[in-house]
Amino acid sequence: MQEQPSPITEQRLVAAQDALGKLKTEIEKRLFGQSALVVQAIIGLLARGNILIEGQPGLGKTLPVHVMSEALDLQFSRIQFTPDLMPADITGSQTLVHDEKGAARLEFRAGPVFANIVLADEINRATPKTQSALLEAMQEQAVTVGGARRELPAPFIVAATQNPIEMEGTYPLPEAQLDRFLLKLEVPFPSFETLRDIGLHTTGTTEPTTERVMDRQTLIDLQSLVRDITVAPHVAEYAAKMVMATHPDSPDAPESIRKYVRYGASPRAMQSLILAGRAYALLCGRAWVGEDDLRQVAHPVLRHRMIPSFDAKLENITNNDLVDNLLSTVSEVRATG
Amino acid sequence: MTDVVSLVAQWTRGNNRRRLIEEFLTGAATLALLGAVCVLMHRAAWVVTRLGASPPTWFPSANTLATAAYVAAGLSVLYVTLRGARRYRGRRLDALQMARQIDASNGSADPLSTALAVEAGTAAGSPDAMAIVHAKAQQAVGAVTRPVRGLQAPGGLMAGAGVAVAATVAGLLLLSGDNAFGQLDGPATPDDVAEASTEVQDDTPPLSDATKERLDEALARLERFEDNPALKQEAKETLAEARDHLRQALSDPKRTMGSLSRAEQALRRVAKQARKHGLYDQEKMQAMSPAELAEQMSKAMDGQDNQTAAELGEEMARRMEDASASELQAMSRAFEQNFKPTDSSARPGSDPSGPRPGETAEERAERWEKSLEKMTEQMRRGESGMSSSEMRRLADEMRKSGGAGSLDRSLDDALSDIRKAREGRLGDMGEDKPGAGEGEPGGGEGKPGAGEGPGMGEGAGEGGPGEGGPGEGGGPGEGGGPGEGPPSGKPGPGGGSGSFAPGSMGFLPPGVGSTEKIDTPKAGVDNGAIRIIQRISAGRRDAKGQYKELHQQYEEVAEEAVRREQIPLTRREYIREYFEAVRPE
Repeated sequence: MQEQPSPITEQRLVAAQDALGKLKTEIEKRLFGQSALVVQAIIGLLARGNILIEGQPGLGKTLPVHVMSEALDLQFSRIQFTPDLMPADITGSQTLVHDEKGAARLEFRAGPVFANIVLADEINRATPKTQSALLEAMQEQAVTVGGARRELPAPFIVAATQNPIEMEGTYPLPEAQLDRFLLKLEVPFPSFETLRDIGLHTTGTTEPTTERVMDRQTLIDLQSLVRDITVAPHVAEYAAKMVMATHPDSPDAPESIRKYVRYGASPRAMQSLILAGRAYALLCGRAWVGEDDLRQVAHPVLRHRMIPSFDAKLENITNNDLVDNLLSTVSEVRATG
Repeated sequence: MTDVVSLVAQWTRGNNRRRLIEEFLTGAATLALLGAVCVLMHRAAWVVTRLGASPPTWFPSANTLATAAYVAAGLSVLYVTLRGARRYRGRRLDALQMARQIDASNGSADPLSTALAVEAGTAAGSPDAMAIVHAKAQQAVGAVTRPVRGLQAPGGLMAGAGVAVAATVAGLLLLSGDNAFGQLDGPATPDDVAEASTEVQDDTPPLSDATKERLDEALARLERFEDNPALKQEAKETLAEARDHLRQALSDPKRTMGSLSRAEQALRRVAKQARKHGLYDQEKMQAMSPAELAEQMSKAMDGQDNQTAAELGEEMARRMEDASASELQAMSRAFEQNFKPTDSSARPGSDPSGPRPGETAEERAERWEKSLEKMTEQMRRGESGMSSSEMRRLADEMRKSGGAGSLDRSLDDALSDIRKAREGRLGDMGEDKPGAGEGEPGGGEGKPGAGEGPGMGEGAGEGGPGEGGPGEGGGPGEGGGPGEGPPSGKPGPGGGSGSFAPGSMGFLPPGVGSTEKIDTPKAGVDNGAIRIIQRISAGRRDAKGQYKELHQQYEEVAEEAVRREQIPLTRREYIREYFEAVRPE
């Protein structure tokens, strides 16, 4: 018998905000100066979305995922993507085994994808064939091996990392796969103070440990709670305007989008915006989404969904610049005094 | 439980109302500013003159400036209206925008706007979450102290406009002492001119005896119709208005000119009513009994108001046609009571059936009485057809004859009195009476003509070079306009009149002449100004083109004089009015 979902109350929202605050604090104990990254990672977690983390080597792309899994006491697995990695190395495969009587039979041996949090490290180093092995898992939380569909454990998210500067010997992710990542997080270079703290606190004999602050069931409840958050039509309208404006052939597109974008965001981006906005609202302890919530999540949601034109590359226009421009030009349902 | 939607809707209405008022104030301020510019434009020529400078040759004429000012004023109104509407459209809020504005002022993230969607049932999410949103919105609504921003005066613009308008008004008033804005409403009417002229003069002389006498006469003429039961109420009221103005003209010398103009206008309205619908109320007459009709007809005949008598007689004839024997008897009795039998032996040969050549007024009255007596007899005998046709004939004759006491004649005479009184009043005030003497080129031989016209002004005659004789001067000024011309030749037919001939307003039927008709001697050639005026007055179509040309020529001269010379303000419009009045169709 399925458990009846508990009603949403003010107290429950406060408790959720409190629990998520503790999770954030716990993760930040080991991640110096990455507050925004942590928040975005939590948003991805709450929204049951996959996240793509991009950053230069040594900035700490894998650490937040690892720490998050520890704080949540979730099953974590890491797959190091290399050119020779095969799909079966990810999903698992059927192997011939002999029983006690000596009879041979095929037995499925689960791959590393069977975990709650799968870290696909340097995902762009694997071949497209192997990368595609993750597509079904990311989208449907299931894999099909040997003709049998196997559900992945809940909650399930894929956190992939990639290095933006080492392009040799890599296979850039196809657009279809990029679109399946709810958020693309960028790991910025730390500030001077953060660097100092990293030096002070991570090079001693004692490594900081992570305590479990949330159990699996609580996380699943929170993920369910996100879907209950109220969205008003004018907020959805604003999200739709933003997505429409990413298309260069849209009449509402700003000039920069027309010039520097080849293809705009998909309807999945619209879903992602609303979902991420809902997660952010819950993080703020609110039962409704405001337009400002959408603006907060617009960068990680949209930055990997617009394909820049050649001009953008020539003029060194980044997708973040384009999203900035989008936010400043797409009008809200704004009150005019 | 607070109804968020209703509350926000109420605030929205309040906000939009205030924004509308703000836009109205801004529009009014802008309009005042632009209006001041238009006034300056309109009065530019006058301002230049008052500053002691003479307008340069390239300076636009007063008419051009006035037209430009009106066009500018119209464009300003259009601009301000469109701009205000556009601004208001941008500033008015709908309920969602209002809610968002309050959310923003509270620093909260859209609870009110989301609650509106929740109440409207358009939000997505779980019902529990929506209930929380609604509760939050109610809290937010409760915390709102001043949802609608107060009125904001259009600061600098308003102040600038106010100062500009005040400065303009003050400047114009200080410089002129006249109503500087009067002309914005249109050209000054004779009333305005007359009032302006009287208001600025503190030493207004009392009315002269002659003027008083004229006004009393006009008043007496109009008072006769006060109790005329056959007149329409509308006509009675207009006549009463004219009487009131005449009384005011008599009682308040300062406002005599204005009151006279108003009285004249009222009488013109009566004329207009007469042309359009007639002055006699058929329904009233139909409601009268035969005795009343006979009584009123008798009174009208006694007062020489043949026109009223004719109308009543017409009604009587209509009744005679359809009357039964008993009704005819009743009418016969009414006639006997009201129309006394005449002494038939006095004029045994008189025939009541029609007018005789050379008949005097007394003879005519006697004949009419006989005719009525005959009708009485016919009615007594029950001859309805005979009496009816006799009455129609009599009514027709009465209508044609008019009579000194008829309404048309009285109105014409009253108008004539008013005009004479006005001219006399101008004389009382020591003003030059506008007059223009005209001289015709002499034809070679003859005697000098003489101008004529009442008033105290001077008429100046001009003689054109003719074939010899002196031109004839004339004009509506007191005394004769001396004609000038070469010493030999025929006299030119010069002449002018300061008074309006009775019948000039078109009240009188053709053939009913005035007792004061002036016959201008017909001599000389046919191309002089006065001749042309005479011919166009006589309805000669062939003179139309000449008259038009003449009018244009004289108007240009007058306009030039008005513009270039120091003609008093109160006279300028008078001159323009004159030329407007005599403008060819």
